[in-house]
Amino acid sequence: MINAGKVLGLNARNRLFLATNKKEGRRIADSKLLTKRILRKNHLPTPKILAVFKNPQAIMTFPWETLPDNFVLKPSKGFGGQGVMMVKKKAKWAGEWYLMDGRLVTIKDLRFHALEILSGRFSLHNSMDVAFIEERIKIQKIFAKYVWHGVPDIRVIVFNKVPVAAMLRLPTKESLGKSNLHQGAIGVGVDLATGITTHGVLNGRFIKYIPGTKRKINGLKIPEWNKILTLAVRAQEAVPSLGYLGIDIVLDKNRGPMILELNARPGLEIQNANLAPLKKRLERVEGLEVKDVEHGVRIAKALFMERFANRVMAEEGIKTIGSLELVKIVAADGHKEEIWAKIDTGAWRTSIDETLAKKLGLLEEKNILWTKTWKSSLGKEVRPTIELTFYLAGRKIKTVAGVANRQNLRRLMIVGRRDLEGFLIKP
Amino acid sequence: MLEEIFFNQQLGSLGITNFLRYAIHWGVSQGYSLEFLLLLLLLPLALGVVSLGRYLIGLQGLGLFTPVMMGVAFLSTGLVPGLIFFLLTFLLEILVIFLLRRLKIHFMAKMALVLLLVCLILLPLLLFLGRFNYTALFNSALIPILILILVGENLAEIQLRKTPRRAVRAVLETLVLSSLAFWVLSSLVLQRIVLLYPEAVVILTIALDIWVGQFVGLRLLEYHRFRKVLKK
Repeated sequence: MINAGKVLGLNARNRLFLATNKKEGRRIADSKLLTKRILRKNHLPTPKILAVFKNPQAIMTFPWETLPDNFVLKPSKGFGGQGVMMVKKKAKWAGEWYLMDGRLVTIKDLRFHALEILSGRFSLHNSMDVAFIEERIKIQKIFAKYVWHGVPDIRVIVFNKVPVAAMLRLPTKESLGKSNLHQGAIGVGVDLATGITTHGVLNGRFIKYIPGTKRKINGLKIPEWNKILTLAVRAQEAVPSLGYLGIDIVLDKNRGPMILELNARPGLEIQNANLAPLKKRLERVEGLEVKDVEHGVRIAKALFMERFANRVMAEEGIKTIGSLELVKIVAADGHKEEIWAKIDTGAWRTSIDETLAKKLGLLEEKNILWTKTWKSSLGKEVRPTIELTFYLAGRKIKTVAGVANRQNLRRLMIVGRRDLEGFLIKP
Repeated sequence: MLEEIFFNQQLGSLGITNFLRYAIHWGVSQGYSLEFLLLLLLLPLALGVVSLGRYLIGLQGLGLFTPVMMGVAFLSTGLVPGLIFFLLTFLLEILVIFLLRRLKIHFMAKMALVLLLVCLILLPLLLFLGRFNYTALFNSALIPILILILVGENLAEIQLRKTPRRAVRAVLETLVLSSLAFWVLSSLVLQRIVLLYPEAVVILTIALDIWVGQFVGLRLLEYHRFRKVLKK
């Protein structure tokens, strides 16, 4: 239970992090139509609306037979995927469609469902609601074998403009094509740096394969990952009154990533899907000065990447290194600088000399992740943390490094434990 | 027992440490029953205990008031008969809702219809129990029985939107929380403590509420839910 303070529970989420969500932001996120309006205003892609029903007359006069082969009928203020009717394809006769579960619906059924939505059947506290019809997203080929009908989406949790965790949500037969975990969809953790899937959870149980198939859950690379993360951060920029939110992004076959909806109270199961505690990540990101969208994405990638590279390396065999190693640092202009570095298992993070970093062009503002003021016996000093790529014993290591004045120390760089996975050290 | 304590109670002169005891004595002299006055002080404690169950243990159940309401209802039906009756009506309600699922009428009208059918089915049951002279449950009080039926319908309706696994869990949690509330409300020990030290109980209830309200640690059930993340 060493991690008890690092895992985010409901109490901490509600009291510490949801408190950063203002009333105005919650109002936007809780109404899917309002969310879409604001996203459009900010030129963020979102699935098209085919019709909006604000009153019963609109439902009765709407030409339902003109609807396309597939579409989704949704409540604007629904939650947890309740009240969503997903129409899969046209049936034999005009005005008849098949739903996800193979049920046949007629215009009469659709009208009735829309009326139920208006009466608040699916909204919080049964308050009056608005129904709307949204186009169906065309699924990307890569996902087709992972889902039982329906479209998977990617939930990204963003805090302080930094994506802190991501999860691919795969609809199942139980969830009837919906991607809500509460409805029985599969949650799959995704490495923030690469967009590669890691672990899977279904109804609170850990799974390695898609149930009923031999398809592995891990190792799937989600396309356009950078765009997805960028979109998520831009969504928070569009709704700054939400400090901590979940952004649901779908990938359309032709149009790429689009924002489906925002969630002002994202669930906690994402921790199980990623096997990573969220509170630690949130605290890490809290208070960082994030300059722009790109900066936020870079911080996320550097801080929260899974150690795939090292796992691959471990499979290649453990490499043995000494306490002093010649490393090649990749400078800003791409050239490699060779220096002797001390391998220091007593330090967690790699550290590099300020003058050297400056010489290599690594102290450019673009490369600095954040700066912190340290108080030590020598007084206050400002220490930036930068992105750093170097080669150690032939392996490329991409990491974050602290910058400090090491001029009067013997080595200009130390390599910390964080970057030594897969190595055996023989001093 | 309680009366004995009550009549032997020495109040002393009115002050900040015994004003509630004065109030209780005054209430009884006005004709209120002692049990009722004690219950009034125990009710906030029961709510505090239910919130403790939620924030410390992680039993979500159905909000705060439903379990306490059920706990109050169990006071007059007794815990076990009350639980059995509640489960029975609840299952009946689920069944009726399920049977009427294809009926396309407005939601609230439908729920009213469900209630009617449930009452119609319960009526012969009442008469049947009467034949065996088991009228205790239903004669005990009408309103508690009505509370249980209505709460059951509320719960049944929510269940149908959830996956079966979650539905069963929510029902079990509600039952545990309502039993907890019942236990607080009916405990003789607690009644005696309230009678002897009502002021202290009030202060402890306030302290409990504030402490629970500020708790940001993991809930007990979350230790299980995130066990793999915790071990990592």
